Amino acid sequence: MDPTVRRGELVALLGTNGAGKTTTMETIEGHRAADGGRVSVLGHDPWKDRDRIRPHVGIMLQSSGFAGELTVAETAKLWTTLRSRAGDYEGALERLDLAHRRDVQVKQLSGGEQRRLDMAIALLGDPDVLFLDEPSTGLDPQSRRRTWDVIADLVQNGTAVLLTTHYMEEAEKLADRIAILDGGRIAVDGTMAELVAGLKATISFVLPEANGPAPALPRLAGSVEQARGGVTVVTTDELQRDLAVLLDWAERCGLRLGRLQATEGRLDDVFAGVQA
Amino acid sequence: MSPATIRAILTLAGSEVRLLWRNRLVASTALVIPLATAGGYAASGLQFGDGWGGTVGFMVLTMLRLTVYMSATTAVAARRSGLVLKRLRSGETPQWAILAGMLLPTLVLSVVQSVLIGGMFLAFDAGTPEQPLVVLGAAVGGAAMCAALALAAIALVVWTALALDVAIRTFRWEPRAA
Repeated sequence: MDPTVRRGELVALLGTNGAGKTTTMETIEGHRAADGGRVSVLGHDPWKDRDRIRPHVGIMLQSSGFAGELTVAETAKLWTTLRSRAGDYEGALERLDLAHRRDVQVKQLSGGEQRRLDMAIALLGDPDVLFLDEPSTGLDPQSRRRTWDVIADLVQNGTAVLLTTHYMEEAEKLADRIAILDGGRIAVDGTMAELVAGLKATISFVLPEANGPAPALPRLAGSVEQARGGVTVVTTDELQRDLAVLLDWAERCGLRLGRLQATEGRLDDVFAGVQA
Repeated sequence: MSPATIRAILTLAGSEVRLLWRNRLVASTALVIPLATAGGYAASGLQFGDGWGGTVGFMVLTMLRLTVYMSATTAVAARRSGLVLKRLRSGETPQWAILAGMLLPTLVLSVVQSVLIGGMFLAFDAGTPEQPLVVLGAAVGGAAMCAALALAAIALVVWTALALDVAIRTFRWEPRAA
């Protein structure tokens, strides 16, 4: 594999459970030696030159812990002291919406809050490179969006981010490039547009209840199927054309299409293709 | 040793003191019980062996196993099982410095308690040791040995409960039959 991450870029590493995401991440972080090949972070070997690299790197592990009897502020302050590039820990807590919990002991935080504290600590000292191993696992939707905003902001300001995730939406929203791991190897690698190129788009809708028989659908380039719940699904290579034809037909027939959705090829489909 | 590493050790040690203070069970094991036991022996006048030396030595050993060995085993095993050690290793501080910071408070505490125990016996007319520096050296060396044994037990044993069990068995004291 060759998952190069440049400054101001976010690369998402996806894969099934056991595909090797965390092993890859831990090797790049310098937690374990590589069995073979070469790993370089900021021009150095992360295993051998740990001391040179770590001051410039922020790490959020997939699972880790903090002393439960320390408060949030004490924990963040401790980590600020341990970093050579001292940062504003109050600002980091504010950024991750933990400032109001600063005097609460870590053991009293919810799982999601502990993940956010973990991330706040990874951000201390404004690292040049950030490793985020499943950063939004266990977060509620609101916290997840806030976390995404923070990550997007960091990337915009030049941080190189390598992120693993199980959430396709997270990768789609944040990643400049996506690599899908399968059995320890990168099966697919590219931008979102490159990965979904060639995949069929889908249009789905529900026809309104009618007294008589429903009017026949117009001629479309794609194929039409009936899914559960009365949903009609059109799978097509000509999304824009078929959508225009469909909307024009509905307008002429005086129909209001329920739950109308039109989507380009999705990352889920790429992922499923890798697994197949 | 770089200034940053020294600062890291002292910071971690400060945080351990705070944690020790907030954990009443560990605090009482490390602070109260050794001193109370020594105080009881000093006041009762009970002696091991030929004189006060054996009694003071036994009390210091009791204190070391409680203050250093048990506390260190409990603290490091808990930090490891709670993945705190793993998180700390993801930072800049070297692993040896992390462990040094964790153990430093108990080592300092044990030396202070050795002095207090000696003072307590002195107050109850036990007399002064002929070689006080040797006694102090033995207390410091004993503390370092207990810390090393605690780390060895932690390195060999995965679970906290099992580490504690090893701790208790290692230092089980059985008086010799008369």
